[in-house]
Amino acid sequence: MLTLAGVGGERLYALTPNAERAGLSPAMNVADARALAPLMAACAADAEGDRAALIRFARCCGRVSPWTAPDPLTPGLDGVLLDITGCAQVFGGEDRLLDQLVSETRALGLTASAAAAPTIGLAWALARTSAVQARRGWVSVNTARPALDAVPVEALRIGDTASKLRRFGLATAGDLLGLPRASLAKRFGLALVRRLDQASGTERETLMPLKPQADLRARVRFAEALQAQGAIKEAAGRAIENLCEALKAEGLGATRLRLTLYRVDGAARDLMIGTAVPSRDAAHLSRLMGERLERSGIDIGFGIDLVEAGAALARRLDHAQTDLTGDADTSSDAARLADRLDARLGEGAARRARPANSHIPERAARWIGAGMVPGAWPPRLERRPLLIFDRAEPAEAVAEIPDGPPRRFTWRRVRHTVMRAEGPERIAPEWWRAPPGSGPGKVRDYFRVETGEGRRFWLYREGLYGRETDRPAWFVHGAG
Amino acid sequence: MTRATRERETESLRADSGALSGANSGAVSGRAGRLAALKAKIAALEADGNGFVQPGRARLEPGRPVPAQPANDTDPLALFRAQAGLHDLRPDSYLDAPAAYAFAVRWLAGLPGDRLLVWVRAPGESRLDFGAPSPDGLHQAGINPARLMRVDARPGADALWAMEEALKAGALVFGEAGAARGYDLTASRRLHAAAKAKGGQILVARAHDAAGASAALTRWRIAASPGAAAPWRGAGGLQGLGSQKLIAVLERRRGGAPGRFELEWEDDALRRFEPAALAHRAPQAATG
Repeated sequence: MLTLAGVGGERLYALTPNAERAGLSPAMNVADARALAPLMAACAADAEGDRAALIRFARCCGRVSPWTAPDPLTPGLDGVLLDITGCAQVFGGEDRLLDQLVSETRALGLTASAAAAPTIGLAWALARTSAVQARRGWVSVNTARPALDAVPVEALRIGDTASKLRRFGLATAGDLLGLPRASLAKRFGLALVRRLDQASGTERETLMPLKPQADLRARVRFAEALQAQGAIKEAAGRAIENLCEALKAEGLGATRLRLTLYRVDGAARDLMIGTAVPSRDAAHLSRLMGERLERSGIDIGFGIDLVEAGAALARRLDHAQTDLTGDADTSSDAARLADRLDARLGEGAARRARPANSHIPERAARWIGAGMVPGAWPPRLERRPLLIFDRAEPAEAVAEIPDGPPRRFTWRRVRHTVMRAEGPERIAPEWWRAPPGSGPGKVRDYFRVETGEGRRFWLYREGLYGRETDRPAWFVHGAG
Repeated sequence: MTRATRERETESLRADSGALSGANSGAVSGRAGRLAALKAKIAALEADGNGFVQPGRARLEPGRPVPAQPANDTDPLALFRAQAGLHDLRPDSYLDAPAAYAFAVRWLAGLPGDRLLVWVRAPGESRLDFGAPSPDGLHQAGINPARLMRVDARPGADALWAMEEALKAGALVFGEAGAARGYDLTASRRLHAAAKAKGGQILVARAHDAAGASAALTRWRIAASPGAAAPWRGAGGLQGLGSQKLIAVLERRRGGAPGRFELEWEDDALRRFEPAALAHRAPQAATG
């Protein structure tokens, strides 16, 4: 059971079924409720949270109609208003639209009923009265009047006035509509007449829909088509500047920026750039886009008359605190550098290493996008060469004993004599990575060797002699 | 006439005319005087950054990092390493490329500070195809892999552009130029200027058979050399690997004489468990 501060102290806000059975009702004073049910457990309601959840739900209803609004008129009587004009055809009629809406909402664990009517007031009333039992109900323009006549006064969105009307014996909207408007207004206030008019459609009521998510696009239009590359670059810069203003207002930064060039003859061309970390720095983004433009070799044709910059992907970007010494921030410098390199050389050209939990040399480091800041590197006790080949290269080697280091080997058609050697460092295959059915792979014995000329190589023999293979293969895997 | 020889001639011409104008400084008049003044200006500009600064008399300039005193006085390269700018190196032969890389890594590892290190690879360059930097190997050579950014670019213009961008961002750069035609006097001058402006350094690895001029401060030719054996037994009856030994020939140097260095690094004293001194004692003659 939830309570909320209201007129005259804490009032009940939402009830469990048990509490309702005990005779409690919403908007009841907490003190009165305690008298009725001394053992009730009550805690404060989170009205703000409810409101936010309702807005989220209203956005979610956008799949039925683009025109939706949350309706938090009375606490505990939450609803969502949708303008479904023209939407019903898509779902195969109003009935099926309402069915689908209700069943989807109930799948979320909410109790729901829905109604469609020509006016907001009538739909509001029907959804809370006659539709509750049937789960849905809808009236057309022709049947609106009889439906309205049957609506109880509590469903007219008039709050406490309803109980006053009841005292006069006025139970339904039909009773009210038969009375002279002037006297109704005089006795019960203008609000009642207005609500009646809205429900019957005499007065127009509009829906204030939720604003769609910010449109992160900026356009620069030209009366005269642009022909020169320089001018297009300039225009792109201006569009990006406007876009960055929009991003700033939303507290976002773009990680992927799309520039669309619309040609006079109706063709359009997209250019994409990505940034390692979200950015709304117009100068930086313009520079990246400028490089992309230069290298794209786009066909300008008869000219470009509209340039549009859009954030295809945006992420939250809060203002960063620059340090007080005024020194350049090296991590953001690195990210910018990576952006420029990626923009010109292709995605993933600049990479940084992150330690991976593996003993297999080619898997000991993972090369990741340069935007990430790599963490601390754990020290490794085993010696590793400076250079590791992307793929180990086969060599022909002669060893004195099957398990020993090579005494001579031929690699890249050059014969080397081994003068110094250390090893083996035995690295077992990672059987859990092997594809099913292919066997676990072979053990590698690594040797560090130095040739007679002082050149250092890192070789391995694949396969345990006698157990895994009869002819062990040798590979050179690193140097230096 | 190749570009290289032309460059050399213009340099010598410039030196001659400088000497001439110095001798005839009394007769400064009109065009000749202006020319002499301009030449003096050029000479001053070039002397400013290109002559080696003695570590003890380093001039402090705002916005430019102070060349740090090398921690180790025995480092023979300290004098060259203190200079911001471009350094060239090429392996003595194809198979010496890993040795040249080792030289570059040790060079960069000895520089003070923890700037970003950008390793510009040119995977299409067949003369330097000795694999990618191994973060573990770099770590053991004294470079924290967290500083490393690896860039893969097409050899030539793209790789040179990437190097220049990295220098402008204030990074240390190791670049593979290989035998790319794009790497000439103009390109190397650009790299040198970019490095100097940010107080950074760039080492460019060229192919063993690359020819042509470059504006580098120093040009090195690196060859591997058999090092002393480790005092312990290695594998298969062979001795273990001692410290790595390189022969670095300083082929050209702006404002200085060439030289030859035999370099040896002993960087694994802490990791390797050498037998105690007792084990090395000379065998005593049997008495009795």
